Amino acid sequence: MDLLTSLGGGFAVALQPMNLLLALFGCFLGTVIGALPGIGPVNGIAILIPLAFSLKLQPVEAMILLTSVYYGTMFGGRISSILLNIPGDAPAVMTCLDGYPMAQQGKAADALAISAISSFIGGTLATIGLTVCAPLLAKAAIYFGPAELFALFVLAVISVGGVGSTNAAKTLLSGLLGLALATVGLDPASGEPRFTFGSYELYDGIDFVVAAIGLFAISEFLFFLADRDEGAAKRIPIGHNRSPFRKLIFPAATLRASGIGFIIGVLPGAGATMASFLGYTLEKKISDRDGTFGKGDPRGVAAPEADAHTRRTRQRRHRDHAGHAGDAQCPAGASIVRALAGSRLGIGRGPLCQQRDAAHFEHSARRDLRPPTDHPDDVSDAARRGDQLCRRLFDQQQRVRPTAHDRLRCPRVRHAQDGLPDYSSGAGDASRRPDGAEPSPRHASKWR
Amino acid sequence: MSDRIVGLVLVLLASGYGWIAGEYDTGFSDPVGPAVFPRLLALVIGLLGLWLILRPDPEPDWTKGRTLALQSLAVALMLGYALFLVPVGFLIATTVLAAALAAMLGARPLQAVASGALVSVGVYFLFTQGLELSLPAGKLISGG
Repeated sequence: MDLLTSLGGGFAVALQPMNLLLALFGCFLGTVIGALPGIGPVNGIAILIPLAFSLKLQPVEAMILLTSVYYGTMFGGRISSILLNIPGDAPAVMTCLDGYPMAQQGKAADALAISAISSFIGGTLATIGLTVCAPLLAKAAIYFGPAELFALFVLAVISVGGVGSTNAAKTLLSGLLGLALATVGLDPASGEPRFTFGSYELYDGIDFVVAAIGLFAISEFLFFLADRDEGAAKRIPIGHNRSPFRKLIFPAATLRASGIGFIIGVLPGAGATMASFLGYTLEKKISDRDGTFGKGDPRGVAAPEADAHTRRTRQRRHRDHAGHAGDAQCPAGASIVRALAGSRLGIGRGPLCQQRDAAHFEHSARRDLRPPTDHPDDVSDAARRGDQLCRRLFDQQQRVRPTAHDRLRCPRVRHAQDGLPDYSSGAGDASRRPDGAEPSPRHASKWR
Repeated sequence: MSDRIVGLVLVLLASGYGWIAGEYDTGFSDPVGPAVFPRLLALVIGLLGLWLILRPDPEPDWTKGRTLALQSLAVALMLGYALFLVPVGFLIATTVLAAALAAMLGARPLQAVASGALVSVGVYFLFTQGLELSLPAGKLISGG
């Protein structure tokens, strides 16, 4: 009963015309931004936080706008995956495998529709499941420690074998080379820089998105060049969707994938990329009887979609919990910053990055200080410690003017200057800058 | 033969990778240390590289002549772009790269230059003005 009352209250707020419009606007904006290769949900929200401040939105409205942007960017990432074979963000990589072959067969519209429908089903199921069993899940998540996390990652690495081509050695080699690339940068445990060859740029490591997009985009370009030169290139036909609706839903694949996404989503530390990867592998194992996966099997589009979206809804849960517990004083700003912290994708970590980038530091500090539980008390305590630490570093950041090089490399420093709420004073207004000035992205111009 | 070359390169890469990793200190508080994981990776990559040398797949179809030259040129252009992006600046570097790639994909010279300039200026303003992200202006413009 308590649940229904709260839900009723939530819907009353969400269904106001202004909020619905904001959601529409956010989804549209997000889809456009997400379709740019390399700009995923995390970057999309980071870019649009200043917008939420400069529009002077109320906390609830800002949450609605940025959540819609989040969902929009997720779907937008699929557009470039399916039409160009270039993943828009990390979890969209699996969509490339079957989405692009479908587009080549003239079924681009079908692939986009399947992607959208599966995402919707996965996201909706996760939202419902979340609403009903959040307290239970929180209890289960407490028992998920380092050993279990390790087992989960071993599972992910092993399942690489399920995706691969004919030669298992080559599949394993590409996986291992990926792991080797991931060791570049500061070692997360000891802080020792590895394979940086004296270049400070490499301290941050090599981002997964950079590696994935480079791999897909450059190879796609080279293939296209060869096809064109040999007269085999053909334009991707984008027509209207002519398939009946029932041919676009794959209940079994979507449900299985939603299940995986939901389970993985409960576990702290596993990302949407892993969820979509495992969902695809499972679906390939179960339903790939004719060897059609990887050659444009619609189920291969449906499964990772449902997966990634289920998982992502769960990410919001982590963030929302932390947001409620941690800060009564700056609801919008902190919850959104936690959206970034919670989603764990593409967020750089390590001391160097932290020194350069106060906003980034904030994410890492909150994440690292937060115990792997969902106990509100622990979270608020950790968040408070994180806030103090952030505040100190933020002050240092203010004193040390960034050099030209820093500005070039780490543009989000400016967002931090503009948008980071004032944690120490308890003034309670997330939209004020620490120096008391009105927030505006235009202040940033002095940094150029 | 192709697979054998790849295998050899991988073995060399793995040895270099493992050798560099061996220089990292094991901290007093951390029994595993930063060197263990890379060394493990190096071992397995090296073994798999040897496997490729011993049991190569059948020779793939390589592109030949003009196509291969075009593809190499494309790779060289992208490497050059990465090298020159910061000193020359985003606008000039991107115009040149986009125009060259468009020409390689079959645009006429005028079309190629126009699309290169359009992409470069469009993206520059979208990112610097619209999304408030900074792109390297280059030493020619900023004088730095």
